[in-house]
Amino acid sequence: MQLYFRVILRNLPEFIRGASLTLYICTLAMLGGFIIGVLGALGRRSRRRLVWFLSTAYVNLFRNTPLLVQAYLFYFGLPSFGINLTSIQAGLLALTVNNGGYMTEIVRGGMNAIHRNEVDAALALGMSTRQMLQYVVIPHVFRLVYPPMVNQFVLLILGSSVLALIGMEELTFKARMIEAYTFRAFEVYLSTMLMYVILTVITTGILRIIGWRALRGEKSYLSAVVGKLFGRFGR
Amino acid sequence: MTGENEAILRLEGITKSFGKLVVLKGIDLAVRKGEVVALIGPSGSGKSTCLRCINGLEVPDSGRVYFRGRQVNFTNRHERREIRKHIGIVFQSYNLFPHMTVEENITIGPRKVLGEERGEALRRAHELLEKFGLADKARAMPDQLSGGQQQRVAIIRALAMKPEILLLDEVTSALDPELTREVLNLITQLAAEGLTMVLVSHEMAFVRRTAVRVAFMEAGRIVLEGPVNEVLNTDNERVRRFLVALEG
Amino acid sequence: MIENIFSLTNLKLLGRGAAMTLLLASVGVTAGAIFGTVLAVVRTYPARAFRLMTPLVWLYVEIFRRTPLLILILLTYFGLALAKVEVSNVVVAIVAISITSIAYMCENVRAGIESLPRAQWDAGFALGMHGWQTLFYIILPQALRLAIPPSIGFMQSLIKDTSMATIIGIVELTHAGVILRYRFPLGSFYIFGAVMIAYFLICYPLSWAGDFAERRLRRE
Repeated sequence: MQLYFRVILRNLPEFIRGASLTLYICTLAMLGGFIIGVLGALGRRSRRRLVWFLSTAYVNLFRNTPLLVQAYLFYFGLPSFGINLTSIQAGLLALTVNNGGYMTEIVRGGMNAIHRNEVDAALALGMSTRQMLQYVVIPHVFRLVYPPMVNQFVLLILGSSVLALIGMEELTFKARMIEAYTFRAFEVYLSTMLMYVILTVITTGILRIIGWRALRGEKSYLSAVVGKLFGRFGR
Repeated sequence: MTGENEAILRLEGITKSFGKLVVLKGIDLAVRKGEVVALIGPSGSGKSTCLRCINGLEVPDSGRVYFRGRQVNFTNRHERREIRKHIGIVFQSYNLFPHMTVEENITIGPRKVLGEERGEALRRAHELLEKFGLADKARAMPDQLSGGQQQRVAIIRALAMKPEILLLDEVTSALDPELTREVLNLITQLAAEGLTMVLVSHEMAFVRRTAVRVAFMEAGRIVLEGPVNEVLNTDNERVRRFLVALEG
Repeated sequence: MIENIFSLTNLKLLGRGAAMTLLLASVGVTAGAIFGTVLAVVRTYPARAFRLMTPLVWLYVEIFRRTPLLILILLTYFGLALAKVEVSNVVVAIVAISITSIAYMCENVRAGIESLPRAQWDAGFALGMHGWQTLFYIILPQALRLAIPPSIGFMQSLIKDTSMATIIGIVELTHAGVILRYRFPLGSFYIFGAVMIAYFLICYPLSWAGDFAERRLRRE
């Protein structure tokens, strides 16, 4: 049994093209998902019954069904209504809508964590509602929401691999393609697996560093993890 | 025969550091059978660490610990376990096992470590619970009990192991004043029954009443040690300063 | 047309698909729970025997939590083929799903173990217990209880992720939908809509169970 990893190197440009599309799609899906998430969170906290019902139904529907089926629905199902989406369009739509469901819960969690006291304190200082939101609530919510969002981004990257099955030419699709004409399936998929790991690790690292800088000194995540890893044990 | 007055526990030159922080700088202490020895002193003086060195929860960096005349080698896992069957400890934060009932908490040590039969262990557990007025809580879960009740269960759990020495590490510091009293009364009762104890406490009135000897610790050293009245009425400046701050 | 799509035969197909989905998911979760706990213990318990294995477990968990299941399934398929091991596709899928499941569950249990205060270990040792006695009677019962809510959430994800087994031809729920699509290309919307509803009916009760478990845990 011989393994030829040289094919991987020879096809590296294709892999990179696939990975780029993966990142591109996931970024768009995250931005779109964030917007949906904010709206959805507001909807789920709303007191108007219809708004609450629609947003809750949306979240429950898209969090309890697989991304693949959603993608199939948009790609194969919509043409029946005359809407013909390309692979990328359908994939992006499915990924965004799916992500929106999770983002809603993340943003909602962040919003719920804001204590009434904070709002009161801000208003007591004489701030207008807009000022309170701008200087107190939104920065706080964003700080709370950022780590789960980074985590969610990783899930997006991993989840996007499924979109290869509707023909979107992201990393997994490229891998299948390369496997098809090199017949080196094991090497190809092993390398693809490593690519996903590397992609995920690098992306998480960058996003975390950006997070520390932008949110100024939020190093607690890393030191907390390190602290836990080296906890002392029984004697 | 001097058996009664020989030290059942002896610490010689115990030192302990955590990284760069030197917590114990050479502790010498002798405890005789039936004595209640109190360790007092400001926070950070190393009292808890000293206690934990006695039953091996902390391994001293240097120095010797003698139990019943024999030196204990704490670096040996088995000797550590052995000595814990003879020296029990109760912690400030009770450390009851939240997923077990009171009687399970009390019987698990005797059953799994001493090898007692379940029936026998339960019988003794109920005996102790009755003796200390907690018989009706036998099947309760820890979170259904008040702090004082939990701490008393923790003490009973240690007693169920039939220890020769009981260590008590600030067992009332986490309790409200009313709950403190019930725990202190239990300890006083144990002292009256002749149980050897080493305790760390801030409750000076209780120490005055119950302790036989007192050791004042500061910055990792025993500054003054002796019979309770001597130490608590001493002229030693550092001790006085501490006592005044505590008793107001 | 809808009557044709959802004829009894076809509904039975969807039913068989759902059964396969549940089979894959339950075997996956069970394997994950058992071996995940074992790995978590290896990972957190400072025994000399484990010293070499601990970083390996860490590596395993880090890698397989960052690998898409789809790639893993394909890798397992071709890997087993390369090793001249002949098994049915279902077994391949189960192996791949278990690998992921063990990694995620290990993480859950590990978090549970490490969230317990050192004092619980101390209390066990103070009674004279061995390390493994403390682990078995004191630590694990509590840690496993803590690991239940995230594990229910994981089970939910796993049920959805079994859809990826489509790629090696296993007829689980999603693939059943794909088969129906070949028979009725124009009914795709209704077919996949029905498949979605089926997944929803399976998963939604789990989110209730998860919330319930979390609330009960918080009350303790």
